Amino acid sequence: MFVSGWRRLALGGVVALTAQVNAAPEDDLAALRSFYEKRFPDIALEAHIDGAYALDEGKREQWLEMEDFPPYEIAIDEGAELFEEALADGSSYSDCLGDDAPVVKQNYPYFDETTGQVMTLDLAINNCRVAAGDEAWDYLGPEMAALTAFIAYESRDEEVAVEIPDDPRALAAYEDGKAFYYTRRGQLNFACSHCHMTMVGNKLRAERLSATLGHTTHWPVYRLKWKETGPLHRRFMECNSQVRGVPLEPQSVSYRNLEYFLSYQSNGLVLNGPATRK
Amino acid sequence: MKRVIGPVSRWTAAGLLMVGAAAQAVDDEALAEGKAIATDRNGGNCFSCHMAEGAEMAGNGGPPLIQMGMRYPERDALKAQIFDPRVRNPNTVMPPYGAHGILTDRELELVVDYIHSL
Amino acid sequence: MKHPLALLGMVSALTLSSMAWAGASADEVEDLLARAAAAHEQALALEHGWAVTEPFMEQARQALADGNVDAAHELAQRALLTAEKSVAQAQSEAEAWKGRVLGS
Repeated sequence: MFVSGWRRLALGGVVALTAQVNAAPEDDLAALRSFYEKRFPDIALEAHIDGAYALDEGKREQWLEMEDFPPYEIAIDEGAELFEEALADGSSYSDCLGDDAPVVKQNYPYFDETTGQVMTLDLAINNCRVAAGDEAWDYLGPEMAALTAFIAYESRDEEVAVEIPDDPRALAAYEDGKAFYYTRRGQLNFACSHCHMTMVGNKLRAERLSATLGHTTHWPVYRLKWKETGPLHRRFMECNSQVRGVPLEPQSVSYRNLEYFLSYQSNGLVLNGPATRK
Repeated sequence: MKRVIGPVSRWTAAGLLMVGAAAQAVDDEALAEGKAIATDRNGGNCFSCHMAEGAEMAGNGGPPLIQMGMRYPERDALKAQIFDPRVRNPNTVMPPYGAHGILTDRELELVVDYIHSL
Repeated sequence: MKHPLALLGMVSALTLSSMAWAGASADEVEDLLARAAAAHEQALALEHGWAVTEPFMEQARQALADGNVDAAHELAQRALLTAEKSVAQAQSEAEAWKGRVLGS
């Protein structure tokens, strides 16, 4: 069992001596937490896994009421069925995703040394399918949403434990995601950081802007605006569109690197997907 | 919808604040058009971040749009700020409405007149 | 105004828009559209394309097809402006993002 960045951080001074390659990500993680602690002194860091609902008591109550009959439940049920279905060559998702499946969400994303790229759960599922002779699913389609919803549900309460291994390519992927996060995009000229750090907690019209901490813990999400359960990368596309940028492809290298960077920041937090958002 | 500043009160306010002839020269119709563009989500969408009198469901990411005539005695300074706020603050979160072509020249002038009247 | 570049930008934007009134030709519109398309492609390759550029190009082509050359000209100018600014954004952001990193 490896030690997550968050736990390593807790070990204090030892970090600086033993983890030079990972110094930058750990500094990012510490700085991010310190930033939100100062900005929201009354809100526990762990509470940010609920996004905007951690910041607004009134909206939180409405949201909790919705949890009595969560709209993502259909996706979980469909995903459970899909998980049990044999693949084209007779193998199962467990054969491909490992013995712990479906409790595997906490292992993603990770840096895949074979491909030299970030591996997400969605990409891993499609890789399983293609290797078994099945067609890859649409990354924005209902099957992928359902299976990932089931896996997320089964993986609830596991801790996020994203590792940046001692491999310059892994650090490069992380840095690329970090650059994406801080880069202004679109005609409206916003970086992710402008809404989720500079303006975090403020209202855009009637909606509160959520913290980056916890952004990746609760996917896929049933979004009332979408009227269906969808993946994190669909939200990336939406964010890019909202600032009037041309969105990238779901599971593109840049979006996977962004997911890598964001997920690392949430190390040590518990998984709480799927979730409902407005 | 509640109209907070009617034509008469605006004239009075303009006189009291000594904003001067420029604000008074802008007619009601142009101000209404400027406000419509400022309100439109595909236009200025100003109330997404700024509160203003008469604005519904306004955000609070930026400072409230009040006493703009006093804060910007020079209309051109306000126009420059809306055209490209990065000139005064490179790290601003406010979009460059003119420099990025978000508003046309005509739309920008109308929005500036409206904001300046607040 | 504090910054000379901003003034330049405003002057050039005003100059551009006033050209529409001089009576544009269809060839000029086509030229603007070709330049806009090239810049937009460059921006897309840098993952910095703007969502407004293609709609402006399409609207310009439609206006041209409708025989409304002045409107087409203005739309083509907006397409070109947004395409060029999107490339400029990609270029300036290649370094500028570093200044925003928390703790930097």
